[in-house]
Amino acid sequence: MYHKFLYVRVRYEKRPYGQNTGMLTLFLRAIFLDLFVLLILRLTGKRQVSDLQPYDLLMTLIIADLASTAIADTDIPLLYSIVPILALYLVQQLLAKLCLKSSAMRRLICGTPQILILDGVLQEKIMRRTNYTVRDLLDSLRSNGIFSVDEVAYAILETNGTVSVLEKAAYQAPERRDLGLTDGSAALSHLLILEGRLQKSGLGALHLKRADVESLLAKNGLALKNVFFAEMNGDGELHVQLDRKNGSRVYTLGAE
Amino acid sequence: MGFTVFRACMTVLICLGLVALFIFPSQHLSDFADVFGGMLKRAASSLHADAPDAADLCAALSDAIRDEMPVLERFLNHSDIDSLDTAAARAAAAARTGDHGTALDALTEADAILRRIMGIELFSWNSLL
Repeated sequence: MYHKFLYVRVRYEKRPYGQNTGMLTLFLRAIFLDLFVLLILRLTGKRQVSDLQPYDLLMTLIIADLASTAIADTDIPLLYSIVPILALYLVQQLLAKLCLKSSAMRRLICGTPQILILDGVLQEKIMRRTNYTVRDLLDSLRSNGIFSVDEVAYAILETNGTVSVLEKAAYQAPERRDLGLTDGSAALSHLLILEGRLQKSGLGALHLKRADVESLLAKNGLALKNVFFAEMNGDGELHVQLDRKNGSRVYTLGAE
Repeated sequence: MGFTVFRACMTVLICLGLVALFIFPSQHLSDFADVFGGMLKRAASSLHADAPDAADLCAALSDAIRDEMPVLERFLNHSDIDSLDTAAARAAAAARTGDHGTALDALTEADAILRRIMGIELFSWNSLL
């Protein structure tokens, strides 16, 4: 191995024009810029495309374009991409801070939600102003599970382009409290075993130890090593699925 | 450390980094242009005067750009630096063989490339627009 390394060194030093490492350079530039863009996008704080305002989406696209230029073209220094990306990040942060501090700035930059349907009536003037066609609106209503404008009390065009809909009371599904069903818990389920591994976060949230889980499983004739997935719901019931070797059988163990 | 604090720290670091990038590369380029421009003029005068040190001055010019290349390529378009290097190397080769006409042409080209780089890189309304 050492001799091979020496051989490469000797070959490298003998080459009058140096050793070409173009592909490696491309590879490393791509990795570096990918990590850099990842860091910048994480710093902007947006998690998914649907969260993005049109301006944020545009900024993300420009950042991607700037990064791809420097990845593919090794003739330009990385700084030619990094500096504009950092500038866009700073502008985005500045605008975000201004939006937080001033409602006027927020209206200017993000716009305001617009009512497209009010009590079953299409707001033609607002729709024309926002370039939102009736067909687009009907699409959005259908996506919300509503098939008639008459069912809608409010349809609001949000600043991120989605349409929020509030149905008229007569068309709303009854809730538990409407039916007098106020009992029952709304607690979160906690993951205890995932792909055969105990989850510390779940154990901690339920103040359980490994031994507690093992004994609960053992009482029902199960062994921890055979469990593929287990979660405990808010009522203390343990939903268990065994691994493939044990037939992927499912058990619901009662609350202790 | 919360994410908000981390982001604030990163934003401050980014601002400082950008300020450094606004100052140091342009300072370095200006210094290089002063030195290289001076060497260009001296080499051109020697070539005009058929001075015996003309070949040495052109060789020094080529060496100067070659020494600076790794630093300049960090913040300048690589093809611009390569063009400058090629022009300087051509001037040095021509001066060595006594072809002062070709050497002068190459120096003129190097001067034009340097001016173009400075025109792009220095802050002005023209470069901004």
